[in-house]
Amino acid sequence: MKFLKSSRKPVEADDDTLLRNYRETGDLAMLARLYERYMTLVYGVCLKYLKDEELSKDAVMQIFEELLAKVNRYDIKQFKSWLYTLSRNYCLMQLRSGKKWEQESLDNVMELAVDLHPEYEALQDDLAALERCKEKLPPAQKLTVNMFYLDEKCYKEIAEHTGYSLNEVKSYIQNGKRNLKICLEKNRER
Amino acid sequence: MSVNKTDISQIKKYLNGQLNAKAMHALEKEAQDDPFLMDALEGYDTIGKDQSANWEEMKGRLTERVNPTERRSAVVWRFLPIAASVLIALSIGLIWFMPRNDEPKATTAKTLHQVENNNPAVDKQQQPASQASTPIAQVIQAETIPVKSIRAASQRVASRQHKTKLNADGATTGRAETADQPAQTIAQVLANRAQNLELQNAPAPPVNKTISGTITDPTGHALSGVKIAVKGTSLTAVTDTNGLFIITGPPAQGTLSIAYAGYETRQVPLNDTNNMKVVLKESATELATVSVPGYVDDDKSSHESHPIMGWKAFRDYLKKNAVMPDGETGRVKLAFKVSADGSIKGIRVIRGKSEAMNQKAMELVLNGPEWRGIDESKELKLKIRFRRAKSV
Repeated sequence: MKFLKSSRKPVEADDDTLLRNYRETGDLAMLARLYERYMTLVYGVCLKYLKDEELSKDAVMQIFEELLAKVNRYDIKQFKSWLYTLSRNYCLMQLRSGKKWEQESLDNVMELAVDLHPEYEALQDDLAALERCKEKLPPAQKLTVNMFYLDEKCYKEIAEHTGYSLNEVKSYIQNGKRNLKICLEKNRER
Repeated sequence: MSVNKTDISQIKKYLNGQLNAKAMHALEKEAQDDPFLMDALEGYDTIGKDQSANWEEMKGRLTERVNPTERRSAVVWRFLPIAASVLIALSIGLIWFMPRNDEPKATTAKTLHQVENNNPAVDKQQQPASQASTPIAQVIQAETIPVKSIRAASQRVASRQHKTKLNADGATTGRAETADQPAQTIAQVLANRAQNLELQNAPAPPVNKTISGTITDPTGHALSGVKIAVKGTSLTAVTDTNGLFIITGPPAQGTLSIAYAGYETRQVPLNDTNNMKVVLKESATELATVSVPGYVDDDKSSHESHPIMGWKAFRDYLKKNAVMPDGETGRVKLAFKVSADGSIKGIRVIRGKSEAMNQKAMELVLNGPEWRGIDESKELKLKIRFRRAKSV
């Protein structure tokens, strides 16, 4: 699959290369190309927090400015996750008005990158323990987790099959994963 | 790390319901492990509408952002060659006219007249007129010098015009000089021209000196609205939001009086510096005009963030309101910063009692009386003591 992909598309520099090129040449166009790759995601995140299309569009442009201002100041190991934190922080700041939000320091994003490592792969390592933990899950969570990960069904299918709403399905999967994680960690400590 | 695991088109199709179940699952699984993607999908879900138009718009805006100057400089670059060609054509045309004439005086005069007539901005009454035509005449003169025959012609012209009176005095003078020094290079001629112009241009109002400076408080913050006055004159100025003031035409000697409510007035001798930096000390006497109940005449208040109503009044507020519905007592220590606009930032509990009490403590600060932010970066610590309600 990966091979097919690369033969179809022209050879594109990866994030690190583009970033390095920008740092060396100062060519804005490089930074813009890099940003363009994730603009859809940045916009989506803005939509989630700001809930308004116009505001989000402006925010996307502003976040580019933030990027421009900060990109040389931070040691960025994973551009994608760093950009995610930057975008989220910006949106949260926009929502400020009296409430207090914990802003994730941009220096600590490495931790976030580590979390991006697929959780399920870590879970797979403990297959036996996993089975035991799954049995302990509340039925709705057990069902949805199985359907999603084992049967590889999408949310829509799970919802149709079980009668739960889409949001419920998502929520059960989230909670199920969390409970499994806790169970497995307890298991490892023993 | 592979570049773009998630295609924008995949996301688009997912949102439009164009993917089959398997593809949907693949994207959803990716989102499980990628919070960025997860949040983004959630955001699109919230809006529900197709965003293709907005995506295009943002792409365009980004391109604009990165290459805006191209359009502007394109205009400039197109203009320059056109202007240059016009000038060159003009001077070539004028040069062509010159040597052909046996009556240089008439021609030159005619040319001058032509030039003057062609120059719509010229007002014949005033000095600037002669200066407007003079540069052009100078160009003509300068261009003609290297050509020997033309030089001779201009000599003849010049000598004849010693006697001739033209309406442009400056032009006459200029031309005479040319004739007297035929061997001059263009550069020298032009330099002479320039000198002439300067002499002519100097109706000599004395060049205005300016004095400028910035006024700050002891912490370095700029003070705006500070009144500056030059003693003994009517010259005054007021500092702007950056604490900057400018005074034009001050006398060489004198004193600047600098005054601002709440600060000690200072007298500073005028020196020639164009960048005075004056630091005002806070006045020991408080402002008489504003009476805020509970305002404490305390140096601490001016240096640290504090409640606008004052610490004493704030303490009273706390005493009245730091009561738990279930009567729980205890102490909560908070830390927070106050920004310049008075909003509370980064509030946290240093030592608390119970979750409910900590929450209430933070609320008392966040939703309570307004704060004055003095130093945005300094963290304030506040101890709140919860007591039992006083029975009425």
